[in-house]
Amino acid sequence: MVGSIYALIAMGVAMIYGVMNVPDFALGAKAMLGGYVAFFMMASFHQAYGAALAASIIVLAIVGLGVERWIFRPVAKAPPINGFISAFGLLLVFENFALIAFGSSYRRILSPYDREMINILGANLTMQRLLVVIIAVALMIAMHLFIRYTRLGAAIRASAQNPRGAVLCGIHTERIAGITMAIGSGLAGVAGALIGPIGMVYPSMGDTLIVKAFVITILGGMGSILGAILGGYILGLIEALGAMYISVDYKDAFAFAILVLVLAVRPQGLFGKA
Amino acid sequence: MAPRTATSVLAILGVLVLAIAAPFLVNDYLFHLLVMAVIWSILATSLNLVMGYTGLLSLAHGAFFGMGAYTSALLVTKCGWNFWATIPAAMAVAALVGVVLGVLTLRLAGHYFAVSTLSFGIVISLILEKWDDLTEGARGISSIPPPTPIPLFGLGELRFESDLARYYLALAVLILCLLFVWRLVHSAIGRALEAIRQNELLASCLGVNLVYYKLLAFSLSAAMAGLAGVLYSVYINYLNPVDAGLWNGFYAVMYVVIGGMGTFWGPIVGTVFMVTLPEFLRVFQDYRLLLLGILLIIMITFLPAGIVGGIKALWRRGMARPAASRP
Amino acid sequence: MMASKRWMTGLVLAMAVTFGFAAAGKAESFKFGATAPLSGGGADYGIAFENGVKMAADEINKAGGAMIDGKKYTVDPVFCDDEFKPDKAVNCGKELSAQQKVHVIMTSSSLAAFPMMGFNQQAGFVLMATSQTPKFTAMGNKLAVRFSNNTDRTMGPWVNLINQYLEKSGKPIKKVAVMEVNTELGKSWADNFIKAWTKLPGGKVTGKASYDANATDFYPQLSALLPGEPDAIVLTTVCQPSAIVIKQARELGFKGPFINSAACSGEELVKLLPPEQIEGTLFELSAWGFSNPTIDAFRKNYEATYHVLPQLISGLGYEGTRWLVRSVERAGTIDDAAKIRAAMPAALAEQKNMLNMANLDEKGDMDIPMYVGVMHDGKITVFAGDH
Repeated sequence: MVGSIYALIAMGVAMIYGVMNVPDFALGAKAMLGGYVAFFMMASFHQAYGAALAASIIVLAIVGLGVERWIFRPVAKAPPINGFISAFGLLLVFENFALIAFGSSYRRILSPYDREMINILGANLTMQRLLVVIIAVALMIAMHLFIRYTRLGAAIRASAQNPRGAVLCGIHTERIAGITMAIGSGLAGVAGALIGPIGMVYPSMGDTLIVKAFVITILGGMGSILGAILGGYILGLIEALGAMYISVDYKDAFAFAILVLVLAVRPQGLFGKA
Repeated sequence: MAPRTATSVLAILGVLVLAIAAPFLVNDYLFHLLVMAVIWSILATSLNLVMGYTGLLSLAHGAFFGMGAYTSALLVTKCGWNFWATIPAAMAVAALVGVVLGVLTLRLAGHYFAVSTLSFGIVISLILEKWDDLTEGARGISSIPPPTPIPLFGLGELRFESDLARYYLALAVLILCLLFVWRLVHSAIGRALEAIRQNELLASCLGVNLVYYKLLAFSLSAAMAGLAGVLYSVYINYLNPVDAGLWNGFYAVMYVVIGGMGTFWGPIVGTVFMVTLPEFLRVFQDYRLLLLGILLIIMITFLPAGIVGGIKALWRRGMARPAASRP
Repeated sequence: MMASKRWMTGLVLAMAVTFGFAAAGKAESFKFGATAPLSGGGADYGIAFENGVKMAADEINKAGGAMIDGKKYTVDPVFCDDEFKPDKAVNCGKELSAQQKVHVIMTSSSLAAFPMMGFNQQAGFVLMATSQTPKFTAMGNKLAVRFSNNTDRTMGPWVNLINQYLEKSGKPIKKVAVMEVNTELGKSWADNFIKAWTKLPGGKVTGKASYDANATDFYPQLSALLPGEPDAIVLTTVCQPSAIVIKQARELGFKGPFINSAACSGEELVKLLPPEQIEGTLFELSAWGFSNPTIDAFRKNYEATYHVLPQLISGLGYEGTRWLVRSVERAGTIDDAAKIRAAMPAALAEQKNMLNMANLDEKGDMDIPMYVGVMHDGKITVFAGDH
């Protein structure tokens, strides 16, 4: 289940990296903002969880557009490492903005789906956890179809593969960058809104999320959205299995160790193009 | 790199004199910032070796730093070693870890490389944290003693209890490291590394043994980072797994890039700037880190080649103008 | 002649009055430093501490300030964000002592306190810490003082108290599993608990799992611990994450009670979970877990001022500040660290504090008595044993 959340954010990372060649370290913070949007929506309009999810996507998409225009476009011509620093600075801005504006206490999103328990194949789950998986998978399928079969999706793929070529084909790469960032940010936002009821919402919740998301993106192979999705689930699985059978203490280390080993053997990731 | 004119030599000497005299000119707080700037500069310089000269973005340097620090601290506190003996041990351990990372990431480039180093660094810092029978984990290693006194035959001892002594030690190490990097960069090895940075494929076609040079760069860089860690451990007298973690690695990258990646003085300039800036921002209380983030974004947008890069660009423009105005 | 003389007198009188008022109204300020993580992952904890300190300072100032050596002083805490990193803590310590010239610094963690022990004596400031590591008072630092309990000392008696309660009430809890939070506090508490628990007749620890302080998914740890069939699960952290652990343990089918360290008091837990889920849970109660007029008033006041619930660390910050001010008043000086430290034991003894802290010894340790609280029907009853 946790794998779904990572996978969502990883999709965002993969897209944004693919098109803009920028590792957006601030996506975790955007997930956090999405969580807060959902929290405030739920606080004002009770029980409207669907609306809260939608709001988190929309708000973060708008934020993404702004970020692309004002933060990343100016450094697009510089070496990618500069984009890394910008993203890091942005992370500081978002996290501390949330700390100042919303305070440090953990907020609980009371989702209506969090109260029922269901039993699937002998495992006990809350409805919320199932919902997370369902929505995440639905979004991933939607994204996959979008990228594969729509014109806009083709344009995005073209910009990722060969920016110059794309320009020559008449694709407005700057607008594509903006759209990509908006979509990626929206995905992160909804990820935050989905995990809110299970964990809690607080300013630094994005930190671990983003690191794992990057790991997944690379594990799956950058540029491969399918890879990112599978990578997310593999990561979640490794963590859970490792925790049960090897050692709970080192749970966090497994995923990272696996990544390093996989890359040593297969430098393009599991599904990347060599 | 550094122009060999008389003015620049004078400038370097001037900075050196300032660095030596500084402890007597400022209060304890600013002196402390100075010591930290020197220690972090060593880390930044080591990272520059891999990032600036060989062209590989490493996020694992926090881990090398931590490995050096923990090795030295544990040998001294748990095994009673003489401090000076732990230095080569710590550097060797860090270098070994660096070689391991180098081997694991040989065939990677760009962001794959970066994330692999990130993951590697996380694994190391997690091990340091969880293996608490050995490392004390989250409890940390406390009361690390200052460096063992050195007997000066017939003249008593060189003692390191005072902050001043440890500062000069760190300063001496920094100078040695800079000299080492200078020689390295201007040697055949340095040219090989530069070739790798420019274009790996081409370099290997030209006969540069990629494996050898990459591993060399990694081990040297990691050893230097470990050395910085050792100095840190005896200055702060306390170690915690957080010191080997991601943040130090990120900060090191920031220092190098903001200062000017690939330049000789960049890491130091960047370090001094980034160590002092957050402190000056303390007046803004709650908004401190928010402002830091904004400043980072502004700086990297308008100074894409870092501070040193920006200064060089201005210099070049200054030199170009008289030629343009000649009739 | 007469007119100018009168004019002169009037002027002199006016000046005297003005200066008199100025001298009387002008209060000096007693500055002291307080470091805490005010950003990043530890912000919730650090801000709770900061609020507690601020509340005490505001209260004292509203009541007229501190009376030191015959002069009135406003209590002025200077906060510094240590970002939960040792080197930033040192930055704070150096800035506070060298630039702000404070002679007392309160810290909220070992991570910040230990590095400062390297220079606090030489820089001349008393170092107050909420450290739980026994080493803090074992290093011979003459100006280091702990204002929290030392679990090395309190764990044995408290676990025995639990045993007494279990025997009295006939509840069979012999096997426990420990959920240890990966912080210095959590680990040393867990270590001491396990040591003491295994000394009990039949006491067994079936497993121990650790998790990061900001984790929110505990299924992996719980799934690893539950097969050991513990009678109870031991929790070592503050209420909000503890509540999540409890919730998820129930989801996974665990029906037994929990044992909570002092970091989480029953009162807060009741606000986060339905009573059935925490029926029979045992708490390590310092006075913080009790309900009495002083503590209730503090909680109400805190909640009204800061709009969140106070944590134990808020109470510690609050009482620590009050104690500090009393010590400084007794010592009659704001810049002699040794005198302030010397005045601390007496100041602690003569001032009632809501956590019942007492008996500061020369090493810097104090006693904070711990009791057992039992959750029943959403209410806590205290078991103090047969003394």
